Amino acid sequence: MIDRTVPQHQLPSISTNISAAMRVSDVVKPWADRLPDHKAAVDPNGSWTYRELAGIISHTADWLRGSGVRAGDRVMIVGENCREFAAVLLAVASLDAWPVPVNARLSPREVDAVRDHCEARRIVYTTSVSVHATEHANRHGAMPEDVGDLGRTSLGPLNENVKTEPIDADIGSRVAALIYTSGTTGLPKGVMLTHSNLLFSAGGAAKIRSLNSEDRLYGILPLSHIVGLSIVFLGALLSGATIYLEPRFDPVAARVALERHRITVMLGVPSMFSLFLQYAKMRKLQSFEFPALRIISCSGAPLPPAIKSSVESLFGLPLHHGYGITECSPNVAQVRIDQPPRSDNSVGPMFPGVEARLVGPDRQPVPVGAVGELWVRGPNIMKGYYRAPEETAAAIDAEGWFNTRDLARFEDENLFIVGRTKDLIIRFGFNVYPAEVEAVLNAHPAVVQSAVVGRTAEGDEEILAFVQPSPSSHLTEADLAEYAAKRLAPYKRPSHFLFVSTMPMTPSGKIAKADLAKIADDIRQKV
Amino acid sequence: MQMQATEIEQEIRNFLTETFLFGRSEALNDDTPLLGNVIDSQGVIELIAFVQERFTIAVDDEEVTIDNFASVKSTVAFIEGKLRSK
Repeated sequence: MIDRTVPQHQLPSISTNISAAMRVSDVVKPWADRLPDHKAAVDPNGSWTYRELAGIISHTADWLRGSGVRAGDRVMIVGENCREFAAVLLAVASLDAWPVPVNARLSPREVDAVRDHCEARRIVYTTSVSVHATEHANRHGAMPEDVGDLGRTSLGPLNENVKTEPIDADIGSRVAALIYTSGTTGLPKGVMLTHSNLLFSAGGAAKIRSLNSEDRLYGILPLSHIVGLSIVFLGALLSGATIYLEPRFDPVAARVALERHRITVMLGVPSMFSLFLQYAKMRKLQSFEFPALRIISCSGAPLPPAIKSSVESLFGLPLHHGYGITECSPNVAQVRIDQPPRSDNSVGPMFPGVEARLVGPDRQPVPVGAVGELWVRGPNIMKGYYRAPEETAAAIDAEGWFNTRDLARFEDENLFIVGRTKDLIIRFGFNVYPAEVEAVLNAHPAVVQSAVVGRTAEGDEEILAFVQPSPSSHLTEADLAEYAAKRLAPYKRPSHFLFVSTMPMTPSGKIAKADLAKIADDIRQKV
Repeated sequence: MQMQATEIEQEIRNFLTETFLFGRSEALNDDTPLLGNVIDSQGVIELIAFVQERFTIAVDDEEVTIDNFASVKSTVAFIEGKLRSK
């Protein structure tokens, strides 16, 4: 492996001590004062310096306030990665309103479910790089607005019937982002993350990677996703680095960007790195030439050892692995870049400041080295689920321990994730709860019932739907694919629909998903 | 013999429909955005491989842009241009 560690002497790094009185929007100003002409954010349409970004956040906050946004309001931002999305998010946070970042690739049904649950005062659609954001803006009757140097965005109608949430006296404890994940019941679940949550994670991750103002981060993970928001975006701005925002991933564009922009740090999910391998195979490349690149890191899903070693060979760099979840802002564990590269699939030691315990079904600690359910505690743990006190109480106990519902073990201080106690599929780094997909399919008039399972596939999981059609129907795979495409985001849509006349059932009357998962594996060669 | 634009278009339509749209040809209008919409992250590789092999042309990474592959129409125009310059 090549040692591309940048000498750290004299390079500006994290500018400020993160205090309890700091908002996420406060990360920009120190660099606007110190390196005003340094590029802060770049996207396919242009770039902003730190001075420009600071001014645009302030101006956008004024525009939002003038548009009726109050402290304690929820403001949705619907779009894909671009500078406007980033600036609006920070402007909303600066007002003590709650940014609700939403991926524009969600279906109308999904976007509207979030809007209705959070009772958004306003929705801002960042349309410059996203045809999907434009489609949502049009169907919601949003109007295009030119907002000074921010550029053109679309603003949805004012919802006058919403109440503001109380403002916590402690700035750090105020909500800085409300991030929705699909819940186990198929209904949207809003994760309330505070300014302190996000800055703790962003600052810690930046320190682990020795980020500094000379770094150029590839901002490919969505700003609506916790890793893209806290670790990459806020981590970059805390460090005075430059973030190159890309609306969506493809390995060809990524290869060009890494070379052209001399990217130094790229964080992705395992499936992105798998696609790099497929790209290299198509181009008959044995290795990449990215001399500036010093860190590649992935999280969001299990990393198969074969993929890890192939990626490391292709990039000539260790592929650092980490583990986190939205409710933990997201860092729980991270392989350290200053330690010898690992050949196994450990997610590394615990993130500094985060505690862990592994317990058995009886909630008692398991013996050293044994597998147990992973509970974590620290400044990274969410404030709770929005408007869901029972779900919050079920996830966080009275002592502040959060149940990840993942199964894990420790080998020395290194954590290994070995399974899940939750019914979850991780597709392209996104959580997909089968219950949500099943609820959509079951609503089809020709479907009696369905069961959705995951199946490993080239560093990712693909989604298979077993469907029991009504006896007289002539339902086809294409019918269901079209039906799903209108109601589910692309990453939630099944890759295959398998028709069955009856579902295997457990003795307690539930669909036997373990049997279906085995069937899915057995027929791997056929579909 | 040089391919006609209509033949190229039909080849591209068939490929996109079968590979990405479960055979639903009606989901592919002339103006349907391709990159980032019909064609997903993995699809870009499949698209390049198909175009290179079927039309015996080389497609550089720098040519895989939103403009060149914005729609079926622009994709056909891009391939026509490559074929003319062969």
